[in-house]
Formats: sequence, C-alpha cells, structure tokens
Amino acid sequence: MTLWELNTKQQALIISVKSELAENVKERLSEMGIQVGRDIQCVRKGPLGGPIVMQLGGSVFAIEENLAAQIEVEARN
Amino acid sequence: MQRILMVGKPNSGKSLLFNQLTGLRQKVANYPGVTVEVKRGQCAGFEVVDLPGTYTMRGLSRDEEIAIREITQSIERDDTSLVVCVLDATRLERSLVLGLQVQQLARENNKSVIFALNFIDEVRRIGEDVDTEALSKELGSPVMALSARTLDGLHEFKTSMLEIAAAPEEYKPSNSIGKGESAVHRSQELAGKYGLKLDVVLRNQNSVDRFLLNSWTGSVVFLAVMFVLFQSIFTLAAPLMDGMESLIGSVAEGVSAVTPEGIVADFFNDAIFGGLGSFLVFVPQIMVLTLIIGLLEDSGYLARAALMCHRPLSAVGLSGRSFIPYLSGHACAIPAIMAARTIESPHKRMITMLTIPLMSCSARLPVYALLVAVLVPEDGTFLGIFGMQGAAFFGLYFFGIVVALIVSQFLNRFLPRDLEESDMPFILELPTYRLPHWKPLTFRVIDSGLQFVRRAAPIIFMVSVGIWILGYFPMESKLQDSWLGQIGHFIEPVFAPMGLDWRYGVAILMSFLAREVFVGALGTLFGMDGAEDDVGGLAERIQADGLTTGAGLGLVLFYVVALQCVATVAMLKGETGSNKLAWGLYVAYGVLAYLIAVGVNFFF
Repeated sequence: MTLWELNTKQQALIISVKSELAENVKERLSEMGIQVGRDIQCVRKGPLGGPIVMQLGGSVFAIEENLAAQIEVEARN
Repeated sequence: MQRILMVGKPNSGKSLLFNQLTGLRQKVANYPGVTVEVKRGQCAGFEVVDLPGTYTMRGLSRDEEIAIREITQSIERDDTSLVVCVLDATRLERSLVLGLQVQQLARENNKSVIFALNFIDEVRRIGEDVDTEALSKELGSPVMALSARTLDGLHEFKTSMLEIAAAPEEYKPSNSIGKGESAVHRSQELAGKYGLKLDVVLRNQNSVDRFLLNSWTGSVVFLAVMFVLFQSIFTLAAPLMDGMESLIGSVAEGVSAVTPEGIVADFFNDAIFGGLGSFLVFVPQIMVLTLIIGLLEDSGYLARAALMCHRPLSAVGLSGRSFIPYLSGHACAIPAIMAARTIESPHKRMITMLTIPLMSCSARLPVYALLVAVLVPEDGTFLGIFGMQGAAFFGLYFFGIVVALIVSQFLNRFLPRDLEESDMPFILELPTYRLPHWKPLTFRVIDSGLQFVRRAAPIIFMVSVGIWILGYFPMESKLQDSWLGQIGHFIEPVFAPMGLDWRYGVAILMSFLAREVFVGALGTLFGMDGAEDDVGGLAERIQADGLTTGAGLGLVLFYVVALQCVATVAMLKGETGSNKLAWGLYVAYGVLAYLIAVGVNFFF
C-alpha cells in the first residue's frame, strides 16, 4: 500500500520511494526523514480531501496525494 | 565591524533570539513579509545578522534558494567571525539537518560555530533535558541550551557567544560531516541519542489539530478567523485612522496659519495635505493587518490555514501556499508578491503572483469608502445584523477574490508551463502551537508602516503635484478650462460607455499611476479642497450631481479589478523577470476592468 492509503493513527514502515520522482524531491523527502526502513504514522487524513498529515522523526508534515502515493509503506497493524 | 550570523530553520525561534540579543535598534533589508527578510542589529560591538530561515541547504522553492545563497555568501565573507546555528530542542532531528550542513560549510571556510538550543523551557516542562555537554563533544562545536522566551540560559549564551566571537580562532569546529556526506543520517543518530524521548509536545499539537484540521470544524474556524481578520481591519484601524486624519488636519492648519494666502498656500493645501495626507491615513490599516497576520503566523495557525485551503485552491491551479500571499495582498500587493516565493511549484507561483493584484489592497479602501457611501444607504442593514455598508465592503473583497480564482483557472489552462518543474509537490511542516511574543511582532508592525510610506510616498507626491499644476494653470482659469479640464474633455468619449463624465475620466486616468489618487483627484475636480478628509461630504456632492447606480457600481468594480499601481508592476517585473508580462498584465486588468464597468453600466 502507499502512504496515501494509510488510515488515521495507523503506523507503517517505509518500504520504498518510487524512483520516477525528481532527484531534488527525493532528496527533500530523505531530509524530512522519509527513508526506507523508518517508521511513519498517519496523524490524520487531510481536511477537505487535501494533503495527508503524518508524523516522523519528531516533526509533523502535510504532503499531498501525488507525492504520498509515490511512497510505498507496510502497515504495522 | 565583525559580524555574527544567525541561521536556523523556520519556527526555531530565531527572530525572537535575534531581538533579545540586539535590543531596539535593527534594520530590515527587503520588504516585510513572510520569510524573505535579512535583519541586522548590534550586540556589544558586533553586527548580528538574522538570515532567512530554511530547512536545508538544498532548496526546492525560490525563497529557500535565496536564503541558501544569502547564507553561503555570508559565511564566506571575511568579516564574519561566528555562525550561530539556532536549533529547536523539541524538533532536534529536523533542525540538525540544516545545523550540520551549515557547520560543515563554516568549517570549510574556517569560521567558528555555536549551536543555540532554543525552546529548552518546553523540554524541561515535560521533565526532560538535553545533555548539551555530550552533544557539544559529538558535534565538535559548543552547544548552549536556552529559551529566548523565558530568558533561561540567555545571559550565559550571550556571554559565551561574545567570548567566541572575540577569539573565533580557538573555537573552530573540531568535527563536522564530510563533504558530500548526508546530514540526514547523522542528525537522526544524534536526535535518537539526545532528542525528546516522549512525544508529549506533538501529541498536544495533534489533538488541537484534530479540531482545527477537521473538514467541518476546521472550515468553520477558518471562516471565523478570516471574518474577524477583515472585520478588525475596519474596527481596529478606524480609531487609528481618525487619529491620523486629525493629526494631518492640525498640521495642515498650522502650516496654512504661517503661509500667506496665494499660490503657496494653495499648493500646500491641495497638493501636499490633500494628496499626500490622504494616503498617510491608510498606514494604520496596513499595520493592523500586518499585526494580525503576524499573530496568525507566530501562533502556528497560518500553516494550518494554508493546509485547509490546499484542496480548494488546487482546483483552480493554485497551492495551499498561495493562501498566505493572497492574505497579505489585502494589505499591499508588493510584499505579497514576494511572499509567493515560498511556493515550490514555479507554475503555481507564477499564477499566484499574477492574480495577487486582484486582492483588494488597502490603497483601494478610500475609493471603496467613497463609492459605497454614495451607493449604499448608511442606515440599511443586511440580514438584520450586518450594516449594509459593511456588507458592501465584504462584497467587494469577495468579488476580487472570485475574479482572482477565475483568472487563476484561466491562467492554469493557458499559461505555458515548464513540465520539468511544474509539479513540485506540496510539503508543509506543521509547527508547534505557541503563544506569539510581542517583540518580533512589534518590529514587524512598525516596519510594515515605514516600508509602505517609503515605497509609495514619492509617487503619490509626484502625482499630487502633477494634478495640482495641471488643474491650477493657466492662472485664474476655471477648472473646466484648465489644462486638466482640456485633457479631460479630450478623453471623455472613452469613459462615456461607463456612464461617467470627464471629471471621473481624469480621476481614473490619474489613478493609473496609483489608485489612492482617485478620491483626491475627484475631490479637487468637484471643487472641494481636501475632499478626502470628509469623504461623506464628497459623497453627498456626487449624489447630488447624479451618479447612476449602474455607473457607480461599474466604477467601484472597475477599481476592484484594475491594476493601477506602478510599484506593483515594477515588483512583478522584478520577480517574473519579464517586462512584457508585467506591463501586459497592467493593460489586461485595465481592459477587463473597463469591460466589466461598461457591462454593468449597460445592464443596470
């Protein structure tokens, strides 16, 4: 499944970041802590169907669908 | 003077720390606004430079690129003695990414570094602490815990900072990440060892967000905040504007008391106090709006508002990040166009910049105020609670926003886009909710007023003098026969379809330099000096003169849409790099406004 499909409060493990993303975007994701093997938690689905809010590495981020759908995760529970 | 640089990620409390170190004297380069400024102050014989915030030294958006360039150049300069990296103790991993990158850069350039671990009070409040000594050893540069808000550790930090800055040779980083090495893994490792173990802070934040980012309650709160914001532009600013008006009035009286009657007195009365004074009245309004936007930003709500708006704005080709420039566009388009730099996608940034001029900036207020007073009865109410005139104001603001969204949709469809760069994604960090501190806010508010005056005063002054000369000469002639009158009659046919005569034509033509000019010009033309000091009086004159509803409505909508501000065109030219585009937009909005006005006049 992808990050976009996570439910509220669901924990997941990052499996892969799709390679078709631009290099500088992948770099930015990595600097945010989105790296293979790390835990990520969906804090809530975005308001009005907007960007998903997720937590990792002690910070909270919102990212939009076309990016979140490029991040492959494995739900923990 | 040797310099101390301050670097840190957004929301790391850098601005407050800067204020605490430098006190009252500071200079802001660039326009006030969101994330686009460099501030300079002094601290014990050193110049302290507050550089713009960024998350990383590898930027995606224009504002980050500018920040990175500024940081790099500043560190390379010979007169830089020390780099202060501000870290957020509650978000160590995220702030260390930049911290490590900056430390590496400083080490390459033989500069010393000190880490300021800010917000330590929030860490201690939940019963944790950070082992700064061990962290210093691992980082290879001193780490000092402090809170710029509660002043914990601030004195010690300042002492150490000045000590190091005085003898930077002895405090060069003894360690740093290697060239090309990623800061990410190292910051994860360090944050794992020294960062917060409990996520109490985040849990509190998330439970507030459950309410504020909910589709229903979040939308209600968002609309309520916007309503209060626009309402307070009027209610909070009104007494200040009255005060400003009477101040200018008494200065004018004082001056006319000492100048002999004649051409000099006429010049001071009509050109200086009538023209320039009418525009100074709007300075308080800009400051009030800056204050409210500052409160929203520093409390952390602005990021949530941007998130709430992302989906609806995406529908017309904009981003949630377009919300902040749009909002500050209601004060003045110029800082708003700069704030659009935070939008990652160049395509969306371009659309945002091109539509910002449709936001009803405060320069339009005198025009709205006059025409609403003419068209809408003062004692009428709307739905029983809102004054009709107030509702009319909201209607005008709303009309501007709707036109902006329609134009955005159009531009999104037809603007050529660079596919390579067009789909930069929307990524937004949600900062911790915090009580805003008065110090940085005060500076921001005062600065916004000063910048506005500095930027707009010269042009308003020139236009006022120009109108006055054209209207005053040839000597002893009636206004009808003055040079201005002759020009007016020449251009009258253009304005006839709008249902307006030559006097409106002249006022509109003049206001293509700056729209604030309209009321003053019309006031002079209606034979009333100092008209804008008493808008009601001019409104009665116009009513008596017989302005049809259609023509009046068309005229006010004309002012919503038309881009009558040379300063905005100059700004657009600078930011888009295209002279043709900026002036093209000027003409396009002018034509659109004209067509709307003619249409409204025709149908009503």
